[in-house]
This record gives sequence, C-alpha cells and structure tokens, in this order.
Amino acid sequence: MRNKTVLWTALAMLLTTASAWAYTWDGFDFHGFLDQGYIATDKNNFLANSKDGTFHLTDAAFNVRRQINDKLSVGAQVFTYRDGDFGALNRPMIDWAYVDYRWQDWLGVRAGKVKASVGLYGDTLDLQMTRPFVFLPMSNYNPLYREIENAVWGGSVYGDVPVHKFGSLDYSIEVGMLGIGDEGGAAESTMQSLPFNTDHSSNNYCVNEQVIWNTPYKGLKLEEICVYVNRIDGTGLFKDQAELAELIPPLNGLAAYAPLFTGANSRLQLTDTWNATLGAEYQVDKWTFAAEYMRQWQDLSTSVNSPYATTFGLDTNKGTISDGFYLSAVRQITSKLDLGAYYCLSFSNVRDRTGATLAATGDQSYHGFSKDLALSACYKIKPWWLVKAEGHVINGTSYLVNVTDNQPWSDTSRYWLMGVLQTTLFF
Amino acid sequence: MKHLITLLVLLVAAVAYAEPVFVANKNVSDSSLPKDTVDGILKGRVKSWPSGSHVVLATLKGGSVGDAVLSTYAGMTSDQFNSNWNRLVFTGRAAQPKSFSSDKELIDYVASTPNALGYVDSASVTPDVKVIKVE
Repeated sequence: MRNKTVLWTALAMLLTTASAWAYTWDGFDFHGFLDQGYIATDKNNFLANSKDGTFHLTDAAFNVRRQINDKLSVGAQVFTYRDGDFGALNRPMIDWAYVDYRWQDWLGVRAGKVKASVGLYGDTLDLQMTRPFVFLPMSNYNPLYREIENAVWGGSVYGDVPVHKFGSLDYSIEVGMLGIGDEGGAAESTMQSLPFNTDHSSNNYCVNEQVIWNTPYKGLKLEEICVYVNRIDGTGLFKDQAELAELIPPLNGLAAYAPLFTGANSRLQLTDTWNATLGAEYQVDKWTFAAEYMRQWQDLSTSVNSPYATTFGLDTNKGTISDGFYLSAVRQITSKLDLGAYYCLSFSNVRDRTGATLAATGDQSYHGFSKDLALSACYKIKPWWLVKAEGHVINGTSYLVNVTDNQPWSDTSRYWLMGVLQTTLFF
Repeated sequence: MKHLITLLVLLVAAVAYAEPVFVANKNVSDSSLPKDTVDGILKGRVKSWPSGSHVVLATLKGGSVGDAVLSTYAGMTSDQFNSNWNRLVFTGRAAQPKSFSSDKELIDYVASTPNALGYVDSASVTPDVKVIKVE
C-alpha cells in the first residue's frame, strides 16, 4: 500500500506542475505513466482472489531519452507492476534500455535491452494510453509473460524500406537472451502448474523476426512474425504434500507419494520453442480493425532426480502445439470516447480442441481452452488521464494460471464473467 | 451593397477552402516530399529528409487543418495519431513531436529549428519558412 501511495503522490505532483506531454531538460525527455485497476469475477479467481474483487492491478513506468545527434539516441525505461498475485511493485525492472543508431531510414541498430517483435501490439502490452482495452486479447498477448516475450537483452537490426508503388516494409530482427525473472509472472505461473518449484530460470538465446507490410491500400497493414527460443531451463526442488495436493489433476495424485520425491532436484526444460504469427490491421475513418493468428510449437521435458521418477511418469519429453486467434474492432465515438470489442480463442493443444483428451487425465475438458468476448469503453477525462471499463464473457479456464487461488480445482466453472475498471495517468 | 455581399461570400469561401500546406525550416534543401514519405514521417517510421538530415516534426493540437493533414496523408484520426506516438515514445523509438495550439506558434518554431517540418493553413505561411510540396 505504501508503494502505491508513493507512486500516486509523485505522479500527481508532476502532473499538476507541468504540461501533459513531456518534461524536457537539457535535451533529455522524460515520460511516465501510472495505471490502477480493479478486477472482479463472478466464478473463478483470475490473477488473484478476484471473486472478492481486487485492486491488485497496478503498473507504473518512467523513462528518459536523449537524441544525441541526427542518428544516435539513447534511452531507458524502468517498469514495475503487480497483476494480482504476480509481480511486485517494490521490484522494478528495466523494461528497455538501449543505444539506437539509425544510419538510414532503412537500416538502424539497437543494443541493450530492446523491445521484441511480438505481434501488432506486443510492444504496447503495458501501454494503456495506446488502446481502449485494459487487456489485449489474451489468446495472443499474455500479460504474465511480458518478461519472456516483450524484450531481449542483446540487439536488433531494423528499418523501413520503401517498395515503390507497393508501399513499404518495416522489418525488425532481435537476437539476445530473454529476461526471465525467477519471481516474474511467467516463472510464477509456470511453477503453479508443476510438481516442483522453479527457483532458478535461464535461457540460451532467442531470435525474433517481424515484417510489417504497409500496403499501398491506405490504412491496411499486414504482418508476419517468427520467434525462436533456444532452451529455457527452470530448476528447483520437488514440492511437499500440501503443495502437491493443490495441483491440477492428475498431478495432485502425487500428494499421496510425496515422501518419495519431496526435496528432489527437478528440472523443466523447454528445448525449442517456435512461434509464428500472421496478422492484419485496417484503419479507416474512425475505425480500427485487427486480426491475428498465432501458433506455437514447443518441445518440453521434465526430469526429477529420484529412482521412482520414471515409474510415476515424471521424466517426460513431449511436444505441444498451441494456438490463439482474435478479431477486434475499435471505434472512436467522440474526441474523448472510444469503444472496442474483441473475440479471441486460445487452445493449449491444437490436437485436443474439445478437451476430451485432457478430461481423460482427470482434468476438466475446458481447462485446455478459452473463448473470450470482451467489450471496452475508454474515456479521456484529459489528454493525459483515461478511465476504462471492460467486461469479459469467458468460456473455458486456460487463463487460470493461479492454481493456488482456485481450490478445489474441480470447482472451477467453465463459464464465467470478468469486469475491469482502470484509470491511467501519463505524461 | 450587392458588391459587398459578393465580396463577403468570396472571402468566406476563401477561408473555408484554405488548404493545409507543409512548411520547413529554410535550411532544408528539399523542396518536395513524396506522399509515402510524408506518411512515414507522420507515423514516425521515416526520420530523415531525402537529403539525409534528421526530420524534426512539429504538429498542431487538433483543429481542422491538423485533422485534414492526418486524414489525407496518414489515413489517421488525431486520436490514432496520438496513440501511435505514445507507442513510439514509451518504447523508446522516438521523441514526442512538439505540438502547438496555433499556426503562428508552429511557424515560429519551424523557422527557428533546423530541419523542422510542420503543417499549417496556407493562409498562415510567412516568408520565415519554406513551403514543401507533397508529390
């Protein structure tokens, strides 16, 4: 609570003393934002104990940038968040920090922690002022996975290439290491689904590539993205009986055999992960339409240092294919009011879209997918102050990575509603 | 009286149909810009003049001229334009363009800023800046 009070006070002081757009001092530009939201759900707990309503939806960032000369700039942004049980406001992270040399419009290089190409809107995952939606379609944009999807430590090559009468191509290639935090959303949510903790995470490297075709047809752009991640490792100790009992079936059955494994060294390894996305955005008058399809191929293995690991199927090696799709529309109603809607689908296993195979393991069939209809309204009280209201009608529970908040797991409901209110201040 | 009314109507018509023009600092060697380049500059994708120097973009805060420019050359509303630049600013890819409430303020800025590019009502152009044709 104290952290939030400090953030709100600081931002209020800044906003009351200067113009809305930016602070500039000695050639340095400063910007920042603060989001505060409230989530409530009717049946299942999303991110936190949302059935009781929660204000644990806070993001904040501060950046500084300087244009050194015509071609060279440098900047950094610090970001902190708390999304339900994930993240912590007292553990800010570097969101991006890089040196940028734009030799020509068609060729530039960046080095440092650079934003990654993750769909049409991946780099705006945390930027509430760029869209009417509180949550981007979670079939393609998972807010908990920001550390492993949104930026890489390494470098990028990018540019804008005119293609005569065919428009232009924006390209970007990033190579580097993912900033996997041991206490970040990705690590925490993964750990809640495993019979062991992942206290230490690491990554070899990843390569992201994106091409956006700004077509000659005004307002239409098409994109393709390909991402490759080489080895994500998570290691830790096997959980105790109480922790095992809270896992999703059939893993909760391990609780009865906990003495055989508790404390054993364990490992999760994502050997190769490929992700491909195709998408389109069309802006016409006051409308913006978008659609994206994403498919992910992942090879993962688990191993437990115990002579009984094979007997209980804990040494595994399997490939999974998941996908996600959405269709969205945004309409500017007045200069202050935007309305938006999207429908998104996500499937954890494309070979089991109905969840029948999943149900045969003892889990619910609807845990393998989510079908989400969202409606949003965004009102600009001031150019630098937004309020949003958003409602979701959801079929399926694949969003529920906070397993510990949804006990007993068998009581999770297939159909559920979510409401979100949020306000954003930015400069 | 009849002549006065005619003159008044012509004056109103001239004001109503005044077109936006792009203006630049006089140090800029380019006299024209391709339409696609203007689109790219307004969206932050293009950062250089054809001659190679860095573009310093200046914009108007709303108004019919600003809306017409964004619609004609970038296919955007001012809301979409602002969202796009917020994205660039908060991902470190660009600095926020300076924004002005009046044509005069914008012209004063462009006239005093090397490599600057802005847009105003054609009736507001002064000899302090250079008109840039869009091809």
